[in-house]
Amino acid sequence: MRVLLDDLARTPPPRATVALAVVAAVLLALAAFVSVPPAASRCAPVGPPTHLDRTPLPSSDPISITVGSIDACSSLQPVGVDTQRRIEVPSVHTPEQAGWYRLGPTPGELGPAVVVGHVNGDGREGVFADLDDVEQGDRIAVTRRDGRTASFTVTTVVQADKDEFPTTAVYGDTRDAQLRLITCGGALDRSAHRYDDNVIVFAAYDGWTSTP
Amino acid sequence: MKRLASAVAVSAVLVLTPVVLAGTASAQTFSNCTEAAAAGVDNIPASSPAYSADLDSDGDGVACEKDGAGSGSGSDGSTGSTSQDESVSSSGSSRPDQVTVVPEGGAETGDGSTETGSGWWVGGGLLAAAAGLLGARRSRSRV
Repeated sequence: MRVLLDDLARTPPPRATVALAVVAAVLLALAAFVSVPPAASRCAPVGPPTHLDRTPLPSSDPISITVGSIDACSSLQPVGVDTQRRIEVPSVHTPEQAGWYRLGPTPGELGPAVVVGHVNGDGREGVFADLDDVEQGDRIAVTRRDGRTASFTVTTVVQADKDEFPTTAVYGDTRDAQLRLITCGGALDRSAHRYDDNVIVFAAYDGWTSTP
Repeated sequence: MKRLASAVAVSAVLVLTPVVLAGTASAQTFSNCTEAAAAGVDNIPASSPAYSADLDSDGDGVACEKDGAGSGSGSDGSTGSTSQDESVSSSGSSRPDQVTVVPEGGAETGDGSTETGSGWWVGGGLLAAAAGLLGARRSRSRV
């Protein structure tokens, strides 16, 4: 055995081995391209509500959210504000986790309920990685503790500079039950690991379904 | 001397006036949708400086919606000519109360860690492979 090892150490690797290694490297690189996850949907489909009624629901904490068109779903972690009164977000190390702003209405209740989610974090795609692909008319479902799933229809999607964040449009009082989804977008400041813009989805409540 | 001073003042005003006017024109705001319509402006998106929540009664992020635009659930300027442009808070104070604490600014929702990160790795891998191939070919031709 020792003799064999010494032999190996002394003789340069045969050319065939080098060629094989190169082929393996090429295959690996190709695999990285190909192994982009197949389009099997992870989230339950979002249908129209069985109770078509825009009358706001009583307050009830949300449990989970699903945006059907971009196959995004997550449980909802309550978030508040930090010491600078900036909205908190779930840890960037768990970018798949969405957060519900607990200092505002619950989804389905009168007013603008707000849900935040990362576009990416820790090298992984976030729950709202594709939020900028959401279009007017897309459906969003939020399950609540009271056993209802509140249903929303997207009305508008905007991208706004964080320095000129449309605070009144997002957090201002509304006449009916509304939902806003917020994530990051626009140019990336690579040194600060920070995006310049926010992508904001505006959606209106249009009824509920009993959560199965 | 007095004359000189007033001349200076007048010319200062003349020089500054266009600047001030330009400033107001670029950040135009409207106190109601009738005013906006008179200026030929409608469907103001939430990202526009002219947007205000008072002009967006349905809270869908588009102020002074023209009939037929936006969601089918209604538009901001269509509830009658007497409506004072959809001000939601009846008290007149602009302080909202549905959201008890209104956060400052936007949300920090991403670290950019997936942006072209994998692309670099893949690109690097391909480059290395190409270099390896070239090297292999060269060493072969030398023999």
